[in-house]
Amino acid sequence: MRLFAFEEVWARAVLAAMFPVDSEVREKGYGSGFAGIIASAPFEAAVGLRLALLMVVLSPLLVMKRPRTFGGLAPEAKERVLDALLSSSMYFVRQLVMALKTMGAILYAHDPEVRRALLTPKRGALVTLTVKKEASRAA
Amino acid sequence: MQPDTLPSGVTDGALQRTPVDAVFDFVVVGTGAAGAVAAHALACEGFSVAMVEEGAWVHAKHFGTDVHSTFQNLVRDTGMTIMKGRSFIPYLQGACVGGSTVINSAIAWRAPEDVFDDWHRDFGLSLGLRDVEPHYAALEKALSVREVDAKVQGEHNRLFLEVAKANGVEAAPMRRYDAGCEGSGRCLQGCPTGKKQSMAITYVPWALERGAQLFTSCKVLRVDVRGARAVGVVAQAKGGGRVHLRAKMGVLVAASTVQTPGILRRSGLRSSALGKHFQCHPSVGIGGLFDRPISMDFGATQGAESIAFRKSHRTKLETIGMPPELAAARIPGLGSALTNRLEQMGHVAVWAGQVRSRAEGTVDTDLFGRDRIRFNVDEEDIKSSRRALAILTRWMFECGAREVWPGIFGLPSVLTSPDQAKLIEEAPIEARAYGFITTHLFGAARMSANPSDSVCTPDFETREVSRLFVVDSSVFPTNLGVNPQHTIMALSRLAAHRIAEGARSVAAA
Repeated sequence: MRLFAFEEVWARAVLAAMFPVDSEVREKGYGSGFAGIIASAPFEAAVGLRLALLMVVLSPLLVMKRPRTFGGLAPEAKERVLDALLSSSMYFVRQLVMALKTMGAILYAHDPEVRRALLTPKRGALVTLTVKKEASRAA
Repeated sequence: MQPDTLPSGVTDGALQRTPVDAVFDFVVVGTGAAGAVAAHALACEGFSVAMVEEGAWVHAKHFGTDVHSTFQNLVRDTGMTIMKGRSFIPYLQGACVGGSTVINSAIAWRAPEDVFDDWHRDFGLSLGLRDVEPHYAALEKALSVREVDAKVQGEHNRLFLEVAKANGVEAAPMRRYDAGCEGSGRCLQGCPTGKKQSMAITYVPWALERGAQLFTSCKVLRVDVRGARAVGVVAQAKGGGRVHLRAKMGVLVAASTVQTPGILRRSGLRSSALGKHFQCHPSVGIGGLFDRPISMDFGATQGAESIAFRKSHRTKLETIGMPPELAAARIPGLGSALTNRLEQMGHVAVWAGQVRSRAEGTVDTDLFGRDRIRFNVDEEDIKSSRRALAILTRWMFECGAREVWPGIFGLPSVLTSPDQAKLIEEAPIEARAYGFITTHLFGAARMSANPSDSVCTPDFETREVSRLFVVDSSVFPTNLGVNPQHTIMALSRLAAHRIAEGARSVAAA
């Protein structure tokens, strides 16, 4: 199954919101990497992932009640939307987004440099996980 | 180690465009733990043997370091296989020569005696631990079974053993098929050093040395059945050629609990028990973030375990050195909070609880003809999982974890105090709240003395088709409560010896 170019752009926006990277090249890699995963995935899984992508892209409408697409949100608002979906009371919703997060993690760590950095012990302060309420206002 | 080029006796189905028609004494379907051992045993008995494998032969130098490459090259459906039910439970299967032994942690466990007692009492199997013991012993010698060496124990395993001991719980380093593990922590991606004794570097090449032949990248369409007798196997080579392997003495199916029922069904078997009584070991895991470096990428991928709760809670506790991307998917948070924790991945440990579920599922085919598992964990499984997670959470805090991530929906995604383990004990009895995963699959072509509730006789032969044997974990009447590879191989070896004996007496008669 092949992704459309606009779906690659969506994938890039969604996965970069989950796993931010520091360069545009690597961000673009999310789009092409996701397309590669879809191309080799079994039909049912590929459909599920595409559905997940579509759901996230349209979710600002439902989560924030705003006529925006996901790509048009500020970074904190994107996190807030994704967080709302991941903690949705609807099992299928959170499972679909969890599937996207898993694909994001796989693509994020695909880069040997990132992998090396991930595996190097480095203790630091922890950021609180509470998503800021003002995120929606920042959008 | 595997040779760089395919050894003689191997036909690469990816290049096979023309039909193949060959005759052997036995044809073995699958080259995983069961198929490879059975093929080798038959070849050692002097029979001509063909092995048919759906996957390719992947050399260790082509194993990737990351999950993406592994899933693309070695795992069925690029790792996107799930059991369907009230919740989705992912499972992984190797799809290459050597099957799942290439991507598992090579854990060797003799099935506890109570399993054989149950099989005797409930299913009329005369198989006792005494019958299987010589096979366990032979396999342990051949595959260098040993405890994880202290040099490659790794911090995540060492901590587990230390905290279990401090709590008075019996735990031990795992025993594995290990010819000198170097602690690369990459069992799940395919061992890069060839020290993990998977079937791809042991029993498959050993069978080839004994004259067996191997057809890779050939998907078995059906067993050729004539007059209720198995006479061969029809397969489709990836290159397009049709492969017809005739079997003068019998066909042994060892394609796994998921694929074997489908092959039997396509071969005309209609037993009402086919596809029923599927069982597994659903597993749940927790992650912990520590002050001290853990470095899951060093040491035995899985190196410490405890079966102290196997009977009381039906759970086995164990460690698992997860590749960073699989661990990352389970780390709570998104965006900057997630990358902040990812930066500290070197301080993360993952421990798991494996449940000996009583629940049964089914294996059938979907509308597109693909194998499908339907399975639901039951209430007792969830209670067992909660207990396991609560114990592991307390242990992690005792070891100095700053945070523990229980991964249970409805609970805080981050726990910061051991008192919060109580929350896990009171977590909802709802399958959808937990992130189960499984790798150990059993049943669906059960072996039993009761004809109305089994596909195979206690001699591994199908009831409907003579000389058609099932020798993988499909025949197990129940799950084990410990890792199954050793018992799969031991029973397959035992079956192959019995089948060889039977074939010789038929030939003599």
